[in-house]
Amino acid sequence: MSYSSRIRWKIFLVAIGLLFGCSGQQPPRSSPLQATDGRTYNFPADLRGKVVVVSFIYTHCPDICRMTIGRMLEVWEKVGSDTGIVFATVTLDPARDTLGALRYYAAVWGIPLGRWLLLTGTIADVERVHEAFGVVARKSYTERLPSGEEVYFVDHTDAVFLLDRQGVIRDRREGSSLDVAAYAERVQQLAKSE
Amino acid sequence: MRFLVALWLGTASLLWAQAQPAIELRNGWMYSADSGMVTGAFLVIQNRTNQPDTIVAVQSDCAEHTEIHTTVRNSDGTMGMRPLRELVVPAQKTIVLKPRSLHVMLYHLRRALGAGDRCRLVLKSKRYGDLPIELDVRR
Repeated sequence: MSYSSRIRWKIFLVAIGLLFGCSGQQPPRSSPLQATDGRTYNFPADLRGKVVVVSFIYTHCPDICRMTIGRMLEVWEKVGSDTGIVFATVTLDPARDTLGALRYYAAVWGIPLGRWLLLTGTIADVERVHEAFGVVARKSYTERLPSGEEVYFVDHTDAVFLLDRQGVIRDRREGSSLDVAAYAERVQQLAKSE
Repeated sequence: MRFLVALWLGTASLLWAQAQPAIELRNGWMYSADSGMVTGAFLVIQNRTNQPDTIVAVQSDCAEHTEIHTTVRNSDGTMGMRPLRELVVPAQKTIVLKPRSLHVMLYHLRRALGAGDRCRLVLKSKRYGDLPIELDVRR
């Protein structure tokens, strides 16, 4: 399959993901991901029964993802005491974001592991989760540092999602510019309504 | 008397103008990060002169490598970063490096930098050489 065909196929899958993921009817398709608590989840199906706040980041991203995580931490401070709510942060860069890298990242940013899972997996499984949520993540450019190390960055969707207890997406909005108070209220409303 | 007042005002304004740097860097800060990680730094660059200037490089002892980046929104809505070879600061203009926009990218911190720490950054100006600024580290 040519590169352009692969891109078209990926866009088609993302569109399908958006159609079913955000229609409010069908839970996103699940795939096995490893979490920072040491367990493997069929994500997001295994979290049904909880209201789940889902975000997507990669650990080499210092700007958009840092803002998203910052906003998520503020939301957590407002709603994290509710044991019916779980936070799940999925990597956009499974090639580099191993479980160890995610645990290190969590320690650095003060992410309270427990009911906040950071998830990674095989590239194929993580990409299936991206597609299911309508999230795009693609390597954008690569450069070689003076040290000889090759680094790359990822162009990605800037979105956070809210799943109800049936696993259906009830809310999708931009993560890095999130209105923390309004979003925390939305999360609490959903948690109370179910 | 009027002559003396005018002379005093003229001298004072001249001294004030000389005290103002041609290129002023201020409000510098960066995100905290652990040793070896990448992070972003932000600041305000003001060009007080009537000539444009160009920032051709950035350096910091805090990181192994440093670049100026901009955050872009692609036509499909995705966000990404791109390096800039240089940053032009037009005459009498101010450029703000801020989250979700222009920023300095620090690769592989040489040491952990937490909230309250400081990090020195040097911008290399085509016209004025090294322009240093101390960055406040924020969580």
